Amino acid sequence: MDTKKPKTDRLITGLIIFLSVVGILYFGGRAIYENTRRNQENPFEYDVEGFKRSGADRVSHHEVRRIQLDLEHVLAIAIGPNDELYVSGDSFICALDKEGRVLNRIETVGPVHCLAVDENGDVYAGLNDHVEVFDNLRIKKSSWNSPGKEAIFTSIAVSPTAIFVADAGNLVIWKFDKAGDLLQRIGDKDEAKDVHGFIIPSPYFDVAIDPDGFLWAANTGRHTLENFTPDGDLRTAWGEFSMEIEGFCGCCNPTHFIILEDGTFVTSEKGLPRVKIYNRLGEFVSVVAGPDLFREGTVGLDLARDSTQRIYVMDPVQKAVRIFEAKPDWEGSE
Amino acid sequence: MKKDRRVKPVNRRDFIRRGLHIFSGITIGGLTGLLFSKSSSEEMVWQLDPNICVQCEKCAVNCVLPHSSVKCVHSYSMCGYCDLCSGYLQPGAKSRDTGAEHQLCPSGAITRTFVEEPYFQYTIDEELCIGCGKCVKGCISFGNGSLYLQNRHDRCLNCNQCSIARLCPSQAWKRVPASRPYILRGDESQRYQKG
Repeated sequence: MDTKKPKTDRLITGLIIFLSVVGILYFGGRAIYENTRRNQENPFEYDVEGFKRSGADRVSHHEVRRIQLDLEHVLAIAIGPNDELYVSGDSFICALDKEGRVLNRIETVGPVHCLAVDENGDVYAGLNDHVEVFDNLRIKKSSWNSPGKEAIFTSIAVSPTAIFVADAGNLVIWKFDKAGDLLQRIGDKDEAKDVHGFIIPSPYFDVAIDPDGFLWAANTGRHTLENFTPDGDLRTAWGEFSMEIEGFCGCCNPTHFIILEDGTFVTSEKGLPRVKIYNRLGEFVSVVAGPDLFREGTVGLDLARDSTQRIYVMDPVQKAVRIFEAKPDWEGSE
Repeated sequence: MKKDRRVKPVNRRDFIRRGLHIFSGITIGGLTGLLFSKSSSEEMVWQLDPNICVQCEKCAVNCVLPHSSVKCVHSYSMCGYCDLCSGYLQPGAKSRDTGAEHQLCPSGAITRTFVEEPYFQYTIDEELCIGCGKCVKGCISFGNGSLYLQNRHDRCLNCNQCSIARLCPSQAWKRVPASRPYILRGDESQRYQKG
């Protein structure tokens, strides 16, 4: 009698069971792994993470203070002659001291999208299509005529003799005297003079006056800052598109800019929310605040500066004014 | 004289007759109520609210249809007609042209047409659009949000339990009246509301 056969059968059966278990474990595990990986990968992901890290080694400033605002919608900021901070939001404007305490507050007939303060403390508030002037936020001095129904005021710049208002609806800058009389329309397309006009795809169109008294405007669709003579003729322009830190990203940037006492420019962008410094020639210098400091979807970082050249950044998502100061050990601070 | 208070016993035939009367009454009343409620309440359909949508790209893959009923739509009144359109071009595109390697759309569903220097018009080909919302993310991040997603009712089956709505991470899906089945943006929205 052959006694070996049952042993061989048992061996073969055991081997089959063993291989089956190994196979089930291998293929099952692989299927679970593939499924998990497939769920994590997103073939349609819009990825700009790499660009967010651009310039991380060029940060010259750090946040020294944050003033939290009790507002539903924060819209604009400006600094007064004594470094008092003016903030507009919802349907009022308030003045705050350096500690963030409310000094004064006045209601407006609608949301104020842009603010400027002159050397006398008069506050110029840009509502949707007209300007209102307040005497130190105590009384309304005047309400100027609107240049038209299409007007969308986005920025105000004050010079000693004139007020310049950027209008993203009509794609021009309006020059008013201090009484509110319209003096001039600046920036219209003029092919004879080779003036290409403003291209403003989204409602961010900023203006500022440099230390020499010249008007600058952000032509966001062209990614440039443009300089005009007092008569409104184009003098010069600088700026270029780049997703990297040296340029202005997206379709239309910079959304806001200010000019410091030494003539350097501080700009802010949307898409990749970042605040940067450029020298008088328009060459990139450093980063004030990178995208890592802002929440996703942050758009409309209005800027201001005080007499000590600290940079104030209005963060509409975190509803705060964030104050940045140059790092003492920044290599480019000389 | 005393009244006879004894209750007359109900026989089987009366019991069945009364039961049938009650059943018929309830049935007729119920049907009437159902018909009335159907005629007075408007039919509702599914729609994606573009103001809540976070462009997670799940609309492209969660629809029961082989090609999602969600498509990108374009508000021409809002569009900046940018040369450098962040909804059309890859974020790091080396040049601004129609080269496939520069296009953001994975299915090439956006057509770029020159209007005048420096403006370009962008048109969505719905047959090619898969509703991933990649262009929407680009437009809303860097532009002004003129590109957005909508559930197209010429395709949607209007399932009772919409599989996209069930898995939407931002709860952007809602029931809207069938007579106003879209949630539009820009001037198109105002004209649409006016009818």
